[in-house]
Amino acid sequence: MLARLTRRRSAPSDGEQPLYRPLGSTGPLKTLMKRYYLVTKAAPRVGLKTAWLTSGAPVELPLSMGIIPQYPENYGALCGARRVSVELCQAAEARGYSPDLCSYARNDLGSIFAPDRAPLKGLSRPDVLIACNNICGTVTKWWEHLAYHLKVPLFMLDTPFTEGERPPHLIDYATRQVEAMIPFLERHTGRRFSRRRFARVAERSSETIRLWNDCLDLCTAHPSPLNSADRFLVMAPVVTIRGSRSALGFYRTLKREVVQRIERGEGAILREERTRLLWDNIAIWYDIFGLSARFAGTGAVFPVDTYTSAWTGIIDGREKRDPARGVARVYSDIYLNRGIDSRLQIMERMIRRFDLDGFVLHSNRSCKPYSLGQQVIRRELSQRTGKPGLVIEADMVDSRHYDSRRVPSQVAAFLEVLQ
Amino acid sequence: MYAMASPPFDRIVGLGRDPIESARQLVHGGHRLLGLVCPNLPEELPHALGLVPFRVVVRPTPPTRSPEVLQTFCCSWVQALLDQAMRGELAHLDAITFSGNTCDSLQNLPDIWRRTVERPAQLHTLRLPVVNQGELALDLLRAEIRQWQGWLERLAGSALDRSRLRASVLLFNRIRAALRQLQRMAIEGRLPYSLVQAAAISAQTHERAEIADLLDAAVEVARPWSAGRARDEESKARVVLAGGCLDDLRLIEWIEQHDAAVVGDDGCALSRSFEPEADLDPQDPLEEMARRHMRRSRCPVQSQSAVTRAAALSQKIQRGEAQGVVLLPYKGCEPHAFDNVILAETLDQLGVPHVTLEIEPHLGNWGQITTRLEAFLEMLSDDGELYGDTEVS
Repeated sequence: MLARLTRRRSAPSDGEQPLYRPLGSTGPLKTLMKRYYLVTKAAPRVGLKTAWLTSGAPVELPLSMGIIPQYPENYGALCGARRVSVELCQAAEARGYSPDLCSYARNDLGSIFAPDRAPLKGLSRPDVLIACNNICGTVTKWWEHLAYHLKVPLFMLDTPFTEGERPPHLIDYATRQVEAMIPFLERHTGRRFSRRRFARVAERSSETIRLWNDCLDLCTAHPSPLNSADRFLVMAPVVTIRGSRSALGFYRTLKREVVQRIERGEGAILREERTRLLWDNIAIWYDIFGLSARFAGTGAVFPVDTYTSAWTGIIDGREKRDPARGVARVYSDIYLNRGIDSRLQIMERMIRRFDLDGFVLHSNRSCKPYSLGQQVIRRELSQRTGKPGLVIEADMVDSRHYDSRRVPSQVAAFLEVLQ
Repeated sequence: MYAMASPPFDRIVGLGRDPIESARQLVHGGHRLLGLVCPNLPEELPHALGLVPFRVVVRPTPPTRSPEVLQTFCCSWVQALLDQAMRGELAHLDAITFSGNTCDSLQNLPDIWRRTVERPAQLHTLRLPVVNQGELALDLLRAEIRQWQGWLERLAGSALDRSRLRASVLLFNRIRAALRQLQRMAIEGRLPYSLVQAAAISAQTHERAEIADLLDAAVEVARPWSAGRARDEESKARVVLAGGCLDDLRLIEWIEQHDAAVVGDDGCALSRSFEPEADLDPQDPLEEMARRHMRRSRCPVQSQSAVTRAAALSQKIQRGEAQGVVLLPYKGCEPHAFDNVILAETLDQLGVPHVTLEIEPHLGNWGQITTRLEAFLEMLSDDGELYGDTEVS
């Protein structure tokens, strides 16, 4: 996928000058993710145990037990970028799944029903399923269906959504579930949990996230060293294998490159940076560089977004003595598991800190928790910051909901106002 | 067919047909109403504090205001609810309690509400566990109910009196028992199911002491009617309904007017609101409220609900000797849309015909719904002719 995307992003059209500065780290990223998918495909054949996880599930636990993690959401992004999601979604729809359901879910279920149409013939069959509803309620149902179709045991980590302050009983509730996940994994995989190994993985995970946070934070620089499309690609390891040595190594490499770009005064795009914007919501995977180019062509970049900032929680020093509580706190507190007040605060802070001129909200029909509320967010965020916002209607992988004529004209009009 | 023109039935159907109007009258009569956005919230607690629990029912009108803030892919029920609130039609409520940790459309609704609705302005969210088993879920419920109690006491301006709570528990037990009796009679063909629907709606929206008396009276009036399904009922197509709140009486009434009978349901605000059989123990009501939630039929927002719902549905089919099932998910409701796949697959395995009709709370696609329903009922009926009359004289 990465090779194809990299080719697509760097290829100028109609003899125009290239828009993007090639990111050297995509080389090691390609190698790393290729290895990751090779390992996950080979795992069952060599007797390794695998787990499917939601993107917001605590991967540190299975990783420390030698269980290979796999991510249907990450796989959905891959299918979306390869533009095969519509076909997979249709395979799920043919089995009775409503076209109104989340397209990651339909893509994933479709890859099970029609593996011949799926890249890599789908993910490897898991030994266990681990879902956490900190990202949405959809995963509660989606993973129930995975358990039903695959006949694989499911662990559901319930981290209730909170509008304001999170009361202590909710952390207790999540902590006890994290503790219960250990015997569940031991029972169903035969792998033993070791506190020492877990502490090591948690430490590496925290270190990886610190480096990732640094890379994100460095985008406050003018010009921004990374664009949102860059971050959407290089986020893959922090989502899938944070806690592994390979992920840690990759983010050290990435950070070096980002720092170097800043020292040289090099921005993510090869145009003069004229407009700085915030991106909200999941990427539009099938048009990730096409859309980005519409902005970049006029000198507009996205130095920050709410999506790639979702994997930034760190288990702190005190919590290392009670890692289950640390995991519970970090995973309960992610961006999408908090109310609109909290999201507005974060976005307002981003607009000020990254010195932005406006914001773009992707109204993603497949992600209701992210998208419902965007109309009030747009109004209030503009009032608070004085910056204009644009709402783009689309879907993260189901391109049938993307108006490829309307969106570019909306973007052009918005940029005209800004510039 | 039934001696339905008697006072308790008239009143029950009237209340069930327009619960919002009856709520207004309650407010006019000096009652304070607490809106509940889900039938899974324990009503006894606000009732014991002198509030009338009003399970929010949406009016059958298409949304005009909520599209300003909610996208079209939002659940149609949530759209309708916010629309009603934005138009000021819920201003008579003192406050609202949402059920939290449920679906993605409801998740951000309280925050959107605070920014778009003037009254009611006091909101609380009671979080329910999505994995409905074990001590963990019970502990969450206990903590959430305690927190809700504090909020309700501040709202009511008085502390919870245990003896009043016990009295409320007994009253609600009585109401649920009467609803179950009426439902049994409807399954046996002695009452139209639309009456059970009206009774269930009014039992979640009206002043409970009056409802308890009305339901008891209705049971007494209906008791002498002959047991067993009447002969003319035998030829009717019998169906079980499964879906969301099903607050509009028109749908079941339409089925009954078309020579068919509803003999059971798996509706969120219908039979699942008064099942299971076991009532609350008044000796320790707060603990019992948490435990009752665990005993209830799984709600579609919960994990692993579909298989248990499918098993419950097949029991309802057997009990009512139903010939088919009508699945009625609300447009945009993800939990029901997911569950329906497994429900439909189970029904296929059982050889039970079924039809899925995606509906909106205001039944906007009424013509399409009734056309498909008519075809389905025709297919089920004993003397149904699927291919039309071909006799040429």
